[in-house]
Amino acid sequence: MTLLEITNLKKAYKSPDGEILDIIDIPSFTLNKGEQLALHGASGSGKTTFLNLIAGILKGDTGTIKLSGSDLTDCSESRRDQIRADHVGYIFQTFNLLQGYTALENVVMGLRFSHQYDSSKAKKLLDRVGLKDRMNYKPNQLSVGQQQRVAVARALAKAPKLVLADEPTGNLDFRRAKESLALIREICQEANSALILVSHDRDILAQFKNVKELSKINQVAA
Amino acid sequence: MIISGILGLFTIVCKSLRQHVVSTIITAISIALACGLVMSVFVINEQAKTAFRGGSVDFDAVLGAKGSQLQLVLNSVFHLETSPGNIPWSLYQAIKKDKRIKLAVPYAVGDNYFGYRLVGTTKDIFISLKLKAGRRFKADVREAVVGSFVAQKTGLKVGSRISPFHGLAFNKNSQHQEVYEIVGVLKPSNTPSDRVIWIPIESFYRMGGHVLRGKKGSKPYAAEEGKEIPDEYKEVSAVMLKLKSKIWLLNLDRQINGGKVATFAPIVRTISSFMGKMGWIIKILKYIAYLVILVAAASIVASIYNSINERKRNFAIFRALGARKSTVFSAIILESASIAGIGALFGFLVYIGIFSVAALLIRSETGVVMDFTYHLSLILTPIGSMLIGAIAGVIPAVKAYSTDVASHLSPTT
Repeated sequence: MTLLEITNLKKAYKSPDGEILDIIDIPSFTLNKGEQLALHGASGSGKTTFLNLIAGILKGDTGTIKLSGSDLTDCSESRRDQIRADHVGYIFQTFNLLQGYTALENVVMGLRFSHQYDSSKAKKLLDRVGLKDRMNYKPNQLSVGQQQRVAVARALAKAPKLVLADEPTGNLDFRRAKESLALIREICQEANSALILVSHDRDILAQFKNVKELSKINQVAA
Repeated sequence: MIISGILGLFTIVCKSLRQHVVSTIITAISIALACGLVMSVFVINEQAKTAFRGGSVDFDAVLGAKGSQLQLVLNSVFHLETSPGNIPWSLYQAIKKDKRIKLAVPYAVGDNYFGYRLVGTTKDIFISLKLKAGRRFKADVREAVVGSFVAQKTGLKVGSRISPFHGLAFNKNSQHQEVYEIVGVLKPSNTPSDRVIWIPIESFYRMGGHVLRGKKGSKPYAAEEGKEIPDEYKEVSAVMLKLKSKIWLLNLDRQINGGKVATFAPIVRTISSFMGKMGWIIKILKYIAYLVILVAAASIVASIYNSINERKRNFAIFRALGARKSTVFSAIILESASIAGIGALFGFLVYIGIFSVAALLIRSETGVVMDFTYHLSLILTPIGSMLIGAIAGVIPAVKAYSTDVASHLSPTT
């Protein structure tokens, strides 16, 4: 059953010298519920822009992005925010944890905007990612691996329909990256969340059955 | 859902205030000073008006020497200023007999005890002043009754003995030889009377160095021990008047002030007129207070606006987690209003401080007591400052609102 359906999506940027640069041109792309997909591509090929468009952080110039039945390109910014809060979990390469907030507060904030505020859910997920005794630590008091696990817990606590992971293991060593990836995939599977993971790491990509190169989807990068 | 959203907003605001605790405290202090100043100006102004116009005395008018009504009132009611001069005893007797007058009490001033005035008067003064301890003075002996403030400040009590000093201002070299015994202490009246030592007017006339009206032969008349002072030599500084009805005020005003002998000063009208003339000072103080609030509001803008750049990443993360633009906007407005609210709260401490010092000064200088009472400004000032705080937050909020999410998240790939 289709969760995400993209048709004729185009996105261009205006460069500092005024030139219009096409970055995304995707005639068609679909992702089913619970499906796990790994994407890879050269630097600057528009991987993050693609994820931001799916998350509704950016709006496409033309085309449609239907996520769980809602057309993101036809929504107000506020509605896109709500769809993102309710259905999308986003894991960033640099984790983007809220400085000054504890691990627990970081996860809880993710739940608050989706109106699913339940600190027990947050605690459960932090426990699941092995941070039971680090819940009240702030990001700067955690190791890189622990920070990454907080980011994972934050994205997955609300059991989103779609998880977007942008180089989530980019800052980890191979062993930790492998463990972390397994954890993300396992939790996604349990919650029947679809996963789009962007990575350029061959070892990570090798873990997936469904791997696509962005240039095969995005005509600009081809 | 709504409660969760509001709690989320409060979490963001509390975190931000804690993360910027130094600038929050400094900004809140400036708001506290502004609020305290505004509340103090309004309350002190109102209290002073009430206290000086009505609450200070139990008399309606003053009769005194020809001159300024204000000087006469300040001298006889508030025991400030010098006496404008004296009037003959016959005038006192005449006004006392007037059918429009309920009570006439003569005052003779010219001595002090360590700066506290001695007022020579008759027993009639005790119609409005009540004793806390001891008894009233006898008319023809050296006895004194002290006001509560004098007793508190000097430690005088029943049985104490004092020798007054000549003049209205204290001068240690001008002490009289006469010794007065304190026979009574008054209850606090919260009026200037609390700052006075009351003595019999007869004994005042008989104090050494006091020159009375007229001459006996070629020499100025001086009271003789054991001999009654003829009325023609007596004089008074003022006569305090209580009218049978206030409707006679205008009538007496026209009658007495139209002549050349004396001045009739209705107390409330004289003080109101004085307050009215001094109103511009209050106006200036109010404008200064408003200006301080504006400066404090500007400090909120500067404080939050400067922190927006370092917080843009957090705003972008909130947005990536699903926060709406309006949530970020509201968080800044709420933060700004909260700083103003915290400031306003501490503003009450500043107000209490300023009011207490002002009340203390006014009491010690005039005897007028001002109490902490309700005034609308005590409610409107905190609300107003929070509103101004919220408005001050609009500029930084717009900046936060327009934060580009994508460019403040992870580096693009």
